Amino acid sequence: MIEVTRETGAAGPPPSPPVKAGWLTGINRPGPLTLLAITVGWVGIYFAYQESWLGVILALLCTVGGFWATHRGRLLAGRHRARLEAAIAASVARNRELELLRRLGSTLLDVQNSRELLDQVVQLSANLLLAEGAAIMLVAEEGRFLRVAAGAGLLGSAGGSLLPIDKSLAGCAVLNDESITSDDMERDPRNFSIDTLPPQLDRAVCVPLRSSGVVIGAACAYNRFDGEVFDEHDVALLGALGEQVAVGLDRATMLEETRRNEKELASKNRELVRVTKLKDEFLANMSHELRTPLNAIIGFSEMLMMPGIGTLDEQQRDFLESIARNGRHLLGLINNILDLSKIEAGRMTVHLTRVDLRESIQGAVTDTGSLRSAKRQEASIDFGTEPLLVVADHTRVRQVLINLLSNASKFTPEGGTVSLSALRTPVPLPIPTDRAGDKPRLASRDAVWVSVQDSGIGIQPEDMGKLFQVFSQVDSSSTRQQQGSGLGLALCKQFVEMHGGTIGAESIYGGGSTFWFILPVDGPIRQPG
Amino acid sequence: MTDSTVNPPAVLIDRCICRNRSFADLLPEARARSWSLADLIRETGCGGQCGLCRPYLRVMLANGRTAFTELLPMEPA
Repeated sequence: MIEVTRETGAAGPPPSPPVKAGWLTGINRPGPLTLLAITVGWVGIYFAYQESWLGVILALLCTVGGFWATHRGRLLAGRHRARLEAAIAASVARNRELELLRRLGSTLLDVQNSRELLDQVVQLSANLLLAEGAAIMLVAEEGRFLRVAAGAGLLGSAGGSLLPIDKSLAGCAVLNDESITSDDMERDPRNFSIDTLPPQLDRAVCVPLRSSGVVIGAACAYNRFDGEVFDEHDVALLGALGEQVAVGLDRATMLEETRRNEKELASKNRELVRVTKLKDEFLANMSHELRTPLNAIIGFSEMLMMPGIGTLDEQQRDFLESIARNGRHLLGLINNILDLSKIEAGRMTVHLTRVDLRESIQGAVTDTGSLRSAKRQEASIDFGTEPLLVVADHTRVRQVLINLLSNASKFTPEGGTVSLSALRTPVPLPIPTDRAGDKPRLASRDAVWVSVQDSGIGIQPEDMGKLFQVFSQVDSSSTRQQQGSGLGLALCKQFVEMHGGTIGAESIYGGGSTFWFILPVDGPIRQPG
Repeated sequence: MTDSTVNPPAVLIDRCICRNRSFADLLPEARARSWSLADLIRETGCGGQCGLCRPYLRVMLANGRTAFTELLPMEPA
């Protein structure tokens, strides 16, 4: 009897541990029958020794009892063995299923596209259910059909074929959102024989696939290898697989979408870089092409006004002046646009020299004199007594000054005043940051503060934020009083900031405005590296 | 402040108008690289657009004058 249990132990597969036969397992404890037989045997021997017939009878009884006990023991052992074998087989099958499900899990995580995912999963589900064929079908054609997204075994070549959703077992599972099994597909009223599926399909199990509560298809397995019908366990297994597949499909779809988006973005980015380069080239060419004819227009109209060229009447002189004035205006606009695009392309450089701001201010005031004299405006300059030397780009500083002065004249009525003052003082100025996006720190530096005050119309508080933005005009209506491209102040801001300075404005609406900028005395701080 | 110009000459030709570059600016470069008139036109574009400054450039290269108060006869293109 003990041998029996050892045998079953040896029959198990390597992963399952051998069943131990211990003292306490019922199989090797002598049963009461055995004890009785032994007792009767000993009594029989005693009587046989006493030469009594009773001894022979008892010995016969003992023999019969022994045979019977042996037979019964074998019977019990056989039953026990069968039970154990069944348990071991179940555990082996369970092991296999767990192993397959574990592989399914890692497949779902590894696979990068849904095509590959479906192919691997469908093969796994055929293995898992020991089925001759398996398929994953997804709802297609606006819900009227199921498309075989992947097939394995008997359905290995059925990939891509369409099944009407209302005339197939899988469709029935999808429509009713429930798992179904069929033991005889031929006679099943829910199934119609379809040419696209192989004819030898006989038994089926179909479970719906759900993604965020919506049925998106079905996982199906056909014909068990052992010819058995699919039972509840198979349904549960396929259901478990189906749940994971739906999650994996979602993930794969999302990954694919992300990759597609990335590709799209990359191509758009390339396109942008190309367009930007084109724009830069265009502007570089235009700067040359636009300026040359404008130079000629301005230069020759000025030359025509030279007395040595010939005499002009009043009218002709007015016209020529108008040509020259508008030409200069247009040239200014073009220069501003080109400067801004240069700054945007990061190709604007400042040529730093020691600049005396007194000279720059004086020069700018002289250059804008004609604007003020046309409107009979007064200009006052307050320099203080300290020297106003800064390390800066002379041309850019001049551009800023002229821009602020001409703005002041433009917005000051006839007979108004424009006052300019400059003063050397320590000022907290932003220090360039090491990394882009960091908040700039402030440090106190020696600087020159320059302000241009006008007695013009002033600026409403809500418009102050727009002042230094590109292409913004406080009054952008078509009937506005003042001309301008909206580039001047934006450029000023860029130029001042390139010097490590700041620019700003204060205004009382109706009471004039003050525009100021601050330039550090020792120029911009170079970023390390 | 008023802009004052003292006795402006009747005619002052001191630059290539198309390229807006003064003769005074062009001369040192032309001298440093020993440009002929053709070289100067090729390298700077001055004298190559409308061509009106070409006679002045020729004189400039010959004797170093950078300002002209008289008109020179135009050269054929």
